[in-house]
Amino acid sequence: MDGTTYDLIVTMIVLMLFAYLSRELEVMRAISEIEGYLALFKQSRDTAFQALLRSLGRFSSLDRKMVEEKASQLIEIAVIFPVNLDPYGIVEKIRHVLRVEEKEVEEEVSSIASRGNRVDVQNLTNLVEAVRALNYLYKLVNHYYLIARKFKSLWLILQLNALLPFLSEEFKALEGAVKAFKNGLPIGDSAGPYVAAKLARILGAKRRYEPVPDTEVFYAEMGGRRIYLAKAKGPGGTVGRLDEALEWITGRDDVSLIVSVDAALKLEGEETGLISHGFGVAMGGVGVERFRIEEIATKKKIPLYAVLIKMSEWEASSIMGEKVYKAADKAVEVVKQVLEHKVKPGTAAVVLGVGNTIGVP
Amino acid sequence: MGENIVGSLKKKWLPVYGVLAAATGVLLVGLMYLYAKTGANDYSMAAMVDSLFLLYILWSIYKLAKLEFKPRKVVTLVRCEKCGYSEERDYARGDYLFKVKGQCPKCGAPLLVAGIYVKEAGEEEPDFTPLPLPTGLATFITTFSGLKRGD
Repeated sequence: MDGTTYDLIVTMIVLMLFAYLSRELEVMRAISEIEGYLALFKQSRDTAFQALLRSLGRFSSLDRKMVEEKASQLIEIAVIFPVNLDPYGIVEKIRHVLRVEEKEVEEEVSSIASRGNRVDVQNLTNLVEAVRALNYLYKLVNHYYLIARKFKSLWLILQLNALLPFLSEEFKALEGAVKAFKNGLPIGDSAGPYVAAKLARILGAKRRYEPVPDTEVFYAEMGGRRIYLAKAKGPGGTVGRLDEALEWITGRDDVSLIVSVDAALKLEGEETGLISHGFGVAMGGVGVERFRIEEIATKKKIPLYAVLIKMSEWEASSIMGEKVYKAADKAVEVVKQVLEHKVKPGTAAVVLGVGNTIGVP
Repeated sequence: MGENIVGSLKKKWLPVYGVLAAATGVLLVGLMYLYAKTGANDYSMAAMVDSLFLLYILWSIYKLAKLEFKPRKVVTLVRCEKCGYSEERDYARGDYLFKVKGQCPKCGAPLLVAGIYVKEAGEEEPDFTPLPLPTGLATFITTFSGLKRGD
């Protein structure tokens, strides 16, 4: 073998070695980054769990060990969604499962925090839900990480690595929620109920009803228009049952417009507090309530108008920020203008303050 | 991240990085001196590698020094519905919207809680990413010392 061939072989081996090393280094970097995030997620979950224990302990007559045991069980609860092979009637099935879960968790929290009042129990239930979500997310990320390591799968590692920024957004939002629920403070998502409550106050609501659990309806008049303002009943953390409230309202009056006000997720680059208008029902969540509201509106041919207050996921779940507060104040005026322009005097309209009413009575 | 955590983090890691930067700097000067004296390429190559390492350490110091505590202050906005007088006060446990909280200093009408929110200065989103240390160190620190961003 002459020198040239030998050099060529050595060069090729070195190139192959570099290619291999480069990939190995990339995988090592991705693994190291995932591990860093996982440590943060774990710490976030543990801190939230400790906060939950302290909050439950404040209202509980049980000893700490017992509280811890029950809290651990609560954050492991799973909701099994109905089979969707035959989707007919699935919304009602989902609704039933969610109602059962909501009732059972609240009863369990109430039995642990026996010294707390209704508002405390609602806030603690919200706190349990936030910690449960943190726990589940952490476990899920850890699961994919361990699977990827177990099978030494480069693609699984890279996929998980690519998802980290989105996952950390979720964690950030849930961490913010834990802080807010722990102290019973309004969150960004409370903007909808805040608008409804403030409007009821400005319009000098004449009557207040509680036709369905955890939900209140104010009746006010505005320039000859009959205005029904529905929101979850605060100041405990709950989203209420706005679909049932709407059913009750439409059963007693001819509604000519439904305006829903809710926090909406902004896109990166969009300004927090931007108010946008839309058609349809502004409502997040699983979609059960939205489905029913749309069904009622469609059946009775009532136009659906939406007022959206833009914010990030973190802002929606954390203690209400100044920008969001100011935007909610502005939204009150926007809704008033919508009612003035779109509802004729002598007719009725419904304003739905959608969102968690924590801190908003 | 809490003020005390930022402080302890800086106190703990800035000296370590400082010593590393100083050692790498001295080594770089030494290598450059040897290169100037002997003209051997080995020294220049080693000096280049060393300068890369030094740059990395300096970048880490910069990132660490940039970490700061941003207080998140919750305030209660009270407003007089009669004359429009408003005032921001520190949030007190038990405050809720539309609660009557004292009297208006201007007209004597009841002051109502008009809003409870986080002040603008502290509203910036927490940075939920691992620390700007070498990844192995970051994992170690976050796992064993309970430090993280966005606390």
